[in-house]
Amino acid sequence: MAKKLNMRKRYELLTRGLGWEPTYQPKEKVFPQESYEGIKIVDWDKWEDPFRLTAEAYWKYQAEKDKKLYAIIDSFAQNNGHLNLTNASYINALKIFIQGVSPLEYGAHRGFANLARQFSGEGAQIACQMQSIDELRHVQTQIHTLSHYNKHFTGLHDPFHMHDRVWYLSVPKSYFDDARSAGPFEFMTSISFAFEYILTNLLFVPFMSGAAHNGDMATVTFGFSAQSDESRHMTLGLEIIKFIVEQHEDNLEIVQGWIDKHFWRAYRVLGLVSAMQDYMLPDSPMSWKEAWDIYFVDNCGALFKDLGRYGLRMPKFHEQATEESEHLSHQIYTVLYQFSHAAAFQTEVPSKEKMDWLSEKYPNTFDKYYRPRWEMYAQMEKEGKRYFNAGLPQVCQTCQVPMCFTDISKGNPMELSYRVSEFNGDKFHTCSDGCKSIFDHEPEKYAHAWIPPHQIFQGNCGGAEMPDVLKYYHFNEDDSGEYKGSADDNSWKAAHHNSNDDNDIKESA
Amino acid sequence: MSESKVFIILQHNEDARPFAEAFEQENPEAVFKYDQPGMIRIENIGELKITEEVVSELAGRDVDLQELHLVLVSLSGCVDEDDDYFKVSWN
Amino acid sequence: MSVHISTKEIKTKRTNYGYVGRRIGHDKPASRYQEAVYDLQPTTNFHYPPTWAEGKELYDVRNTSIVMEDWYSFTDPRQFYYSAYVMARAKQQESMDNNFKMAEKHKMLLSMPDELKASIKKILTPLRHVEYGANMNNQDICDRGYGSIITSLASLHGFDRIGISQYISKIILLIDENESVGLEQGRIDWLDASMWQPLRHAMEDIFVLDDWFEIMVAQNIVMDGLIYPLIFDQYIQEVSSKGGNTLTLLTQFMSDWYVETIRWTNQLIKVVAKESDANNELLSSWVIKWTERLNKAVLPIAQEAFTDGGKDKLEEAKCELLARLAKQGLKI
Repeated sequence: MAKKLNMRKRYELLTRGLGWEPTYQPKEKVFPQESYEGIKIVDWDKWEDPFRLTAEAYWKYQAEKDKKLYAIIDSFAQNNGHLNLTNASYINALKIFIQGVSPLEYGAHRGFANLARQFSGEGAQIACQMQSIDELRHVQTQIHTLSHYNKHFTGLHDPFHMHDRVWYLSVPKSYFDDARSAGPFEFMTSISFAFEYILTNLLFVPFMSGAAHNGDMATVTFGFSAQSDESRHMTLGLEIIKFIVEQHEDNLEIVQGWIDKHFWRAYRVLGLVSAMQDYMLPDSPMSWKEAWDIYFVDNCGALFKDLGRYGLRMPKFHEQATEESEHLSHQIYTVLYQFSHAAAFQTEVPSKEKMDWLSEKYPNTFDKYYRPRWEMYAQMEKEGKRYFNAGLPQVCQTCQVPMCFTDISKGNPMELSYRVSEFNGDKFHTCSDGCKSIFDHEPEKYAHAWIPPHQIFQGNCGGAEMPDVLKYYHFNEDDSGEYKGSADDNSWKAAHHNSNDDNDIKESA
Repeated sequence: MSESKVFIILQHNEDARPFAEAFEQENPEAVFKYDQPGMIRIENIGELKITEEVVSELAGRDVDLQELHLVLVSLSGCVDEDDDYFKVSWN
Repeated sequence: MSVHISTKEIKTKRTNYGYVGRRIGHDKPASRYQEAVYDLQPTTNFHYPPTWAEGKELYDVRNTSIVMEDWYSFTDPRQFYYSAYVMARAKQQESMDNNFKMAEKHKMLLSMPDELKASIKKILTPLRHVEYGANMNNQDICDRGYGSIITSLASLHGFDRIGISQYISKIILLIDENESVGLEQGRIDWLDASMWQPLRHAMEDIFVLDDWFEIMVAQNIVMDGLIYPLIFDQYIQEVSSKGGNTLTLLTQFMSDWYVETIRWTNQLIKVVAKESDANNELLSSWVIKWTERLNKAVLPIAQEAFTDGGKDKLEEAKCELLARLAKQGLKI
């Protein structure tokens, strides 16, 4: 009788021992990226597999997930599910998602393929490879889910082209380029740990819940379906951090530095999510601040308590991020509001109900600092002078978010936060202590970033005039500006006006 | 065992039912939250654990615990798993 | 009472994503494959240069000497995007799972003659490592390649190799009744036995190639083009004729997989060779170089696998491969 193998042993037999020990070529040539970052790996065999999925189990479960997902996507399209949304203004959140997030999924797909090739331990290689094809899944299911919306709404038509070019999309793009241009261990710390483990819950869970709240069953389905992969990725992120730190004492300081840096970089990217969550969802199930308290303060508090025994501490400037949590979405959405004439989404002054909700969720800040501003913009709009900022924003040299943050931690919530560094005789502006500290650590890297307003001034974005630039972005005329009276608003109202007469389900005797 | 909170979020659907019920049965101290659309959030201090035996019993068939992947939305804590159990905990 | 749904025509604003429309026409509905693979990869305005590739961009056409006007002119005849891929594999997996369960239940491998068992272990076990190396090469193509069509294909193709290496491992565990000794011996053979060294050497030389397209040719076209027909067709037939016909069932995935692979590699070579004489010459020179090298490397395995005529069987596989590639337009 053959002996029975448990999952652990079985997985070990199927995968371990496959890692390559080159003898005909020098190891440094076969795995050229493994050591140049200064990380010392003594024994890859100490790697604990975060999940023990064989290729067969992977195919089986993933196919089952996708069968369900595509059935819903199909029925959503066949039944014109978009008509069941709370409001078409909700689509603006999806526009930012497909322009800003989906291309990152693709970047992660390529980045994890790099790790799968460059790490020399088979446990880590296979885990990274699995994540790489998961990320391919995510970008493709997002495209397929949003394809139906693209047929009916503006701004969703060319996300990958836009991601490479549009000013506000350089926020997510530069973050990912930052991680991708670094070595494999830094990439992994950035994406798997700082982004996936610490922050991804803030992106997906409230956002998908928000989609459910607003009648977008297609997005809910892809979101939850992606999250089941995400749980594996988070576990991988935690595993890699522990593994690296346990391998050699010299690794701790390097890894802590990366956690500090990439926490702040990723956090700044999520500023866009805060605006989506608080302002762009017509009906928000949870505020950014509430999500931050649950998923960052509580959750990461517990995480770093656990990691303390490895010598790791909370990321630098996390206190500032928490202090900002009552201001972040308001400041970012204000910028989006002011510059949406040059964006592939539309914005509007929050409705009265929305403002009341914001007052309730942000009792310390909204009425005091932000409501008066929105009331002023509402007044201007009423007078036919809807406010748009005609200039180009100055952006932070590190995170590339327009300068809109205030010095909250210094007790000046109404004063613009501004930091200056000098490098090679030039001055560089950053938005915060976090971004300045990142710049100062690698000034040669950030000094050469592709800063959109500078590129526009230099004529590298299609031409000197705004219409040239928008053409370079592949924006259509009806993509931008004020939501009220926009093409999306009009077609939505038209569809729902008629639906009262003849598009409803009628019962006839 | 740690005093920190671990959580598991499952999709709120029929496939997740035997798993959710097993978490309930096997972790009497755990707190269940249904306040977010589409999700069940299960929290506990220290750890959350289910066994294959209980999940199979509740489902009325042999369940492979890896089927949890089909309904998992998120988790916080360190994962430990084998054929007969699945656990998240802080050490 | 009847429920009456009056459907009003909902007019669409557009038919396609712009990036698909530019390729297939803006009024033509796109397939899921087209939406999923065209032009996802960033092409311009990179913020920082990679620290691991001096003088290059994060995504760079210069990572190969093959020059294409458009890296999206090749498409996969199987039209595999992620979902289509996992659904296809899940179906195959289900039937493989049944085959393994049946073989295990009826102890079908255990009844084979000992000599045959020894041969199977000797030939198949080290191929786990070959598959793993092939996977690494495909991950490399996904990493450094250009254009989301080719790189996504390499990603899925690499994942298949992990699956194949696990299927081989399962066969060996079945013969050994779940003892790890055979797998361990296979690793020792792979590292030390003389019959495997020329292949292992060649594989390490492929790992360090700068040009990802040369890796594509050496691995997915030439090496697989020799090993798969030789082992998963000819050798399995031979084993089958000697009382090991269960093995045909347990390697069904591999033989189907190779037939499928030929479809896209043929198409790839055809499209890339047709692009320019320079491409054709480069591809042809790689095929000649690696066929010569790998033919020598596989020869000792062929001789071990077949009691007689191993050399001829390899020669046959080689001629078939070259004839097939010549048919795609290569000057060989």
